[in-house]
Amino acid sequence: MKLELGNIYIKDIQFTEGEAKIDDHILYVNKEAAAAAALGEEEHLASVSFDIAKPGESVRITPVKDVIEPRVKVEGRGGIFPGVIAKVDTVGSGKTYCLKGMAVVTAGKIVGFQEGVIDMSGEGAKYTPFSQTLNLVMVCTPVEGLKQHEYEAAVRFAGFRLATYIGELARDLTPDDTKVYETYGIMEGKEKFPNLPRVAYVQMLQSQGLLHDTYVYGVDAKKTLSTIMNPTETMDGAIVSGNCVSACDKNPTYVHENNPVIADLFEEHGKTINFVCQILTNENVYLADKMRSSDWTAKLCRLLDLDGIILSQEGFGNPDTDLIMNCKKIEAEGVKTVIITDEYAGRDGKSQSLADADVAADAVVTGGNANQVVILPKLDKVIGTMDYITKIAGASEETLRADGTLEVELQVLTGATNETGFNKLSAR
Amino acid sequence: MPVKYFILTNNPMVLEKYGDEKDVRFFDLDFKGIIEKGSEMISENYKLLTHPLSGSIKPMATRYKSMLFQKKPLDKPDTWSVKLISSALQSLDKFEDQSYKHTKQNLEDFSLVDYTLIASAISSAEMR
Repeated sequence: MKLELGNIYIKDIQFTEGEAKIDDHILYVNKEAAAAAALGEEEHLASVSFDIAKPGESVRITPVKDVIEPRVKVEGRGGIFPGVIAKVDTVGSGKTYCLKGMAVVTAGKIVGFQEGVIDMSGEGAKYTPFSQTLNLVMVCTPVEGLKQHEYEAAVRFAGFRLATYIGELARDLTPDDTKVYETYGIMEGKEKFPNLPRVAYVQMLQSQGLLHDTYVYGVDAKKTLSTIMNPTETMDGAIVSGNCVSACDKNPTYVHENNPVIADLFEEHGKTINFVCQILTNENVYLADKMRSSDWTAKLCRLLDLDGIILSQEGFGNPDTDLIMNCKKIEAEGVKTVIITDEYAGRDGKSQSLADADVAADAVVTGGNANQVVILPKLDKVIGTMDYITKIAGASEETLRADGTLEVELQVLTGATNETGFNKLSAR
Repeated sequence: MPVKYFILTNNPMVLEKYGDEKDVRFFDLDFKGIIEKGSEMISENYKLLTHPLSGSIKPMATRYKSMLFQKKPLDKPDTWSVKLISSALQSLDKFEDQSYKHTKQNLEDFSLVDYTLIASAISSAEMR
């Protein structure tokens, strides 16, 4: 399967009364047209409002729900977000354009304790990767009396509709640069790279229930068996986020589209490794589901005759158990396993990092300690609301200090300890 | 075959939704208290069917937790259940108890999320 990703770099976003367009790398957004595109036939949202947040500005966005990179499929089967926005069809081949340097950010209170902060400047900006993107922020207001799960779904779909609409504006443009990603059939890959180790990416998807869901081709991952996929499918939006909690280590849709594990494995594909495929598995609540899913993942690794895998987690606590079960069982099949996780090691970093452990987990990459304390400065403008800032995980009554600064743990910042490596912390 | 189970919970919404039709064992305890109650059940040879740290809401931030247990006790404590509940209890010490500070609306939201998490486990247990 061969996918060509064409990058179009966005250098500014501006509102216009006129026609929405991308001209000379500037995105012009007509609020009325964008609202119509985002709302579609949605009956659960009373209104949407838009704002723009730029890197370096004294702006805080909170509570953040999802972050999405607009893309448009210009050649090949299917469309962006198959099974969700585009009709169900296998994506991952042909040509797709990506709007780089910008993101659609959905914000708004869905539940009272919802977390997710993006600071565009100051100390917080050093930790969230989305301080570096030009953000078109959409705040959604629900109709009176709407239930939380209906509100979550409405905001999720509105975000995808808006991102698809923005992506469409790039359909007739010429990309600034292009990169080609190609994977092969099992036999074909073996013949092409007979001496290279066979490596796959096993991605664990959050799938515990309300506010903790991920969708693959529109299917709730909770109800799936572990399966294999071409990594280029992920780049076309085959996986989307429905997660509202665990801001620091959840994967917003943007991270699925730009998964750095996939990008880095492709960099080595055909050189030092044969990147065979992506394996998806879930993180359920019921222990028998965990057994079945991890058995299945290990079985697929063996069936594919893999030499090694990279295993990434999403979230914390309950998923630590899935992580270790996957790791143990895959290692037991003779497949070398590297895990990517993050840590809740206490404010002093001295506590046990994960809720589970095993000797098989002897190659671990960490996204950082989510309990690490940071002081965020008072910023001039808030998009969304600060009403809940003392209630969210990683914050406390003492969070809002007399001088207007905030004392919080890293876990409040969107993407701060991301477990695919899509974050800014490093040990260098 | 569907598993026979009971629900251990401190969540009033779970009691309200399932109390009439299922075996719900409700205790008016705080978060740590209900996890400790779960630990007691395990020491009485009941096998845990769900993860005690379900949900990505941080422990001690929420007030509510529901867990499924196999109805028929085993002959001795289940080792995996012991391991999971011990790790969960250990994890709690890393988090400050924030559950006291929530507004009525927040508590209702926490209650709803816990209910949906256990509902997802119940559908697995009942194979629905």
